[in-house]
Amino acid sequence: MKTRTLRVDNLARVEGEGKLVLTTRGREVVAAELRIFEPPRFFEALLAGREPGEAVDITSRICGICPVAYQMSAAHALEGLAQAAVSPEIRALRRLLYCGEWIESHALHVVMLHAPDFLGLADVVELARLDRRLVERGLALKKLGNDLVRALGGREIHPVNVCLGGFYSAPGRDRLADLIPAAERGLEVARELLEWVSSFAFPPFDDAYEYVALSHPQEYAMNEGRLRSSEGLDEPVAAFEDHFEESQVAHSHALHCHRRGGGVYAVGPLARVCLNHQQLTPLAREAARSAGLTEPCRNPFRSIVARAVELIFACEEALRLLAAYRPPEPSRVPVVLRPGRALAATEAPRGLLYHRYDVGEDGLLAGVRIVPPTSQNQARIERDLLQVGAAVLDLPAPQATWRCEQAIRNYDPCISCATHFLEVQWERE
Amino acid sequence: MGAGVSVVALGNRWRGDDGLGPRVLELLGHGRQLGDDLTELLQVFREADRVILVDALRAELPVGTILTWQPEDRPGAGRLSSHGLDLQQVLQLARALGCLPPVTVVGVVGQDFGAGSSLTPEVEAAARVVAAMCNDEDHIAWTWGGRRLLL
Repeated sequence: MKTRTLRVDNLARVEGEGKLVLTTRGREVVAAELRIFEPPRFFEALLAGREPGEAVDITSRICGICPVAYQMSAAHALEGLAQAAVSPEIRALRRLLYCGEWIESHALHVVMLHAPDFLGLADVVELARLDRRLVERGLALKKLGNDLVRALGGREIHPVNVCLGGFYSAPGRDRLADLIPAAERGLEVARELLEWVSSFAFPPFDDAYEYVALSHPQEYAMNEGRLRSSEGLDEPVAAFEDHFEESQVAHSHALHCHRRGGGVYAVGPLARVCLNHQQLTPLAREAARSAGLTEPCRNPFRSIVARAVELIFACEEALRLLAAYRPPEPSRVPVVLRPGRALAATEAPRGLLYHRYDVGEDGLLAGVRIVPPTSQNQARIERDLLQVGAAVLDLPAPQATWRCEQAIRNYDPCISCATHFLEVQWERE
Repeated sequence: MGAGVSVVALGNRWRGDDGLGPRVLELLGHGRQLGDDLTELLQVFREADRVILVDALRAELPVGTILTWQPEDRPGAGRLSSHGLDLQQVLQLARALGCLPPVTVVGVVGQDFGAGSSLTPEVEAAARVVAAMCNDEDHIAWTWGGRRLLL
């Protein structure tokens, strides 16, 4: 068997590392295996036997880039079991916190990790040499996200202020009002970024896509909603495990997710914009329309445009919430747990994040399941790579590898628990 | 410790020897911990006069080996860490943006970066040496010349 091996020391501009193996037969790519080595079960095992309240803190360590998402999914799951309803003020503050995380995550990805691909640049350093002002503005937007998370979460890396039932303490009105000027500047930058990324040349791509996201009738869903898909799924989150299943694949420690019945699917900004653009804030909705994302979009390379739309949304929404802010009094509601199954899904920057906790008769966690967005997208990424790999068969190894990496970066995958370097390996049958 | 010198640690205390950075800060009793997002460094650079960066790294050298270098000593090839934007890129970005202060990078060669919160004994020993270095201004200016990373 003749093997053409493309070796890359690591998958650049993705959180963590991984390995990609593409198998060709003639001019067809017959298999794409994305081997991500992560210990996802470490945290699930770590939580067994612990107090349920610890889930909010412990799961936030799973991802250094989106700790808020893990806290939100954990808190909503356990509050659901306890039938504890948070006040509208707490609900609003949580939404503002999530806006902060979306802003910092999307700004980082759009400007620093993904845009260089579309401009033929090796990385953001080259971009900064060409357009320093743009990178500075992108960093300022990202800082807005960080500042929002810090103001509400109490610390930069792992927000410590979030708890079951709400927050340990609510920031004062002035503290949040101070962020309004930066949020207004952030909105300007977000609109500038959308115009910029809309001008990129997108590699052609088309495939049958099923998008999955939370959906809410009145707002662009972040913490609450029903499970909806572009193929007509419309179910409560409690039915998640009836409709989606995880299976261990031999080549990766991550689990693959499929619709029960077999199909791959995609979660994330493109899924959200396609399903929920009607609920976007006004400028974001108009941006989605002018960028052509209100029509079904089946090209994952345009996810960068969806992220830019969501940056506009998150800034608009943050401004609305900042202006209307009333410190919740009290800052948290009582949460009294009982044995049973707790579950919830919220929309992390990268997509739907599902948590399920079983609370035993002793009041401790008996079992935990966490389904991150990146593992839900992994099968879909591999499906994309069948097409992308075929399109770059004749390119020299460095260019072919780069296009494959770019296709993986479309999903802003978070594989920060990985410990191995990426190789891209071609095998001919 | 001179005014305007910031010690910044990188690393995840839940990932074995990657906890080197946090351990140094714990021994020092001061300094700033960064998470997975290295672009936060750019903010540190804008605020500090001089920066010491402490991080674990992988290299073909004995576990616990301590290396120090200034960014200009190393050309931009290769990656030194497992984060999205790696340390070399952030340093280069800071230079391109005109906000790179004098920086000394202190790296300790680690062995086990799997899940867990303890350090390999040699790395723990190195952490103590690094903490002592950070407290001694003479050490800050001293580069262990002649040792180069093998990538």
